[in-house]
Amino acid sequence: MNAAAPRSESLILVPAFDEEKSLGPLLRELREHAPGLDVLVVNDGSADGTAAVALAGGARVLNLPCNLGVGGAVQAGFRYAHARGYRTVVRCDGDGQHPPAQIPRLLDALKRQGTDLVIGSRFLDGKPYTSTRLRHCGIRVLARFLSIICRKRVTDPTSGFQAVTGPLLRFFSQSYPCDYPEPEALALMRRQGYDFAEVPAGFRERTAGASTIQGWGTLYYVFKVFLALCVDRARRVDARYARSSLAEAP
Amino acid sequence: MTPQPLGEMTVRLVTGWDEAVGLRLLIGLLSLVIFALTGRVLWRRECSRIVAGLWLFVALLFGIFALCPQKVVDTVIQTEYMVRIRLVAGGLSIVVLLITFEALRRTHLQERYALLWLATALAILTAAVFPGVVALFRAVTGMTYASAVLAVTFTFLVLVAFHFSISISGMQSRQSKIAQQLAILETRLRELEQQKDASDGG
Repeated sequence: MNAAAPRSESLILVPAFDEEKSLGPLLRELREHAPGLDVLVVNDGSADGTAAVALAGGARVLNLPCNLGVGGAVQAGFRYAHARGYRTVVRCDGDGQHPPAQIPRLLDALKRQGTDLVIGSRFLDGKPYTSTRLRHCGIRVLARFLSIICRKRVTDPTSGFQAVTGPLLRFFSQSYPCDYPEPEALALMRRQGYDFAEVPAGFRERTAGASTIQGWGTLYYVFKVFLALCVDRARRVDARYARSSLAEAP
Repeated sequence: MTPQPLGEMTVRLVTGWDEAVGLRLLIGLLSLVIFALTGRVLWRRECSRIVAGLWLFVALLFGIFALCPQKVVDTVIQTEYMVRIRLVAGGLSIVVLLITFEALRRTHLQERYALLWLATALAILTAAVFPGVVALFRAVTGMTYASAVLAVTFTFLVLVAFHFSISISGMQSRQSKIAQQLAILETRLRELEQQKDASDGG
């Protein structure tokens, strides 16, 4: 039997950059909570043993020759999934923040609600999220802004814990923002006529490594995301990848 | 075109243009040529509307320059130097802002490269709207207002250039990594094929 052929309908996508410490436990957890699902680790040009840990953990590995950033790594995973014929992709970051125990919940919501995207939100279950006050405020402002743009309530626009399915997978494998992609991707897909839903998902503290959004990065993040959101509004809808045209095609 | 405005133009030609007639004629002609060429290209849809718009703007400026009566020229010359320079700087910054936005919209430009261009345009715009902002700069360097605005602009352009150098260096190193990886993959594939051929043959 061809080992590269998909064995499951859904693929778990784990973007990882220098995560050799947290990747091993994460892969074990994934096998425990989502048995039977294929796991793809996109190694985003790590300098450490991320690729070896992923292979040892029984995952498929996509080794990017240079660091592309989260957006590029995730898009590589979407392209792989689309090319290999997976119907659904669940993204679960390699730093261990996204709890694998919640993956069945995301997939279940995807089936039940019939949306193209389901986001695991940190702010829906009422539990306080431990983070700096400034970051929390920033996320809330962004959530308000996006809710207006999307004409639907968004509570956690920066969450990367997402399940993507159907024609949206094709759209994302074609165009996905480069850095800090989540809020912009949400606005983009909404403009193309796709629908999303949120389910509560308690995040965990990262087990190792550091956040990419720190210091000057925060300023750039705010600037980039708001500029991109504003400019996206002035763009024309790409009819080729709109939901209405892709849903009809087989 | 009715003969009436044409007649008026002739009158203006005769009465208003006491100075620099040759120069005005030349500029007017140039403006007409640009108008005609832009119109043709636009009609055939051979260039983007924003580029055509810029050319039309240039042609319009030339046209105004060629046609405006001496009185207007005199008023412009008599307007305070400060006001004129602020108008020019403000117009320039708005043009830069518009071009940057349009390039972003057409996805010809990524947000990270737009950052410094927007900062440049906003710096000039601020200096044009609030001339007091560059006062400190002027006090330290002893420059006139115009030189101060130019110096600020120049600083930002140097920053843009340096940012490009850094980006290009990054791209170069990434590109060589990709090329190396590709070569390694090709070799591995060839070796695999040779092994397969050998095992099939034997």
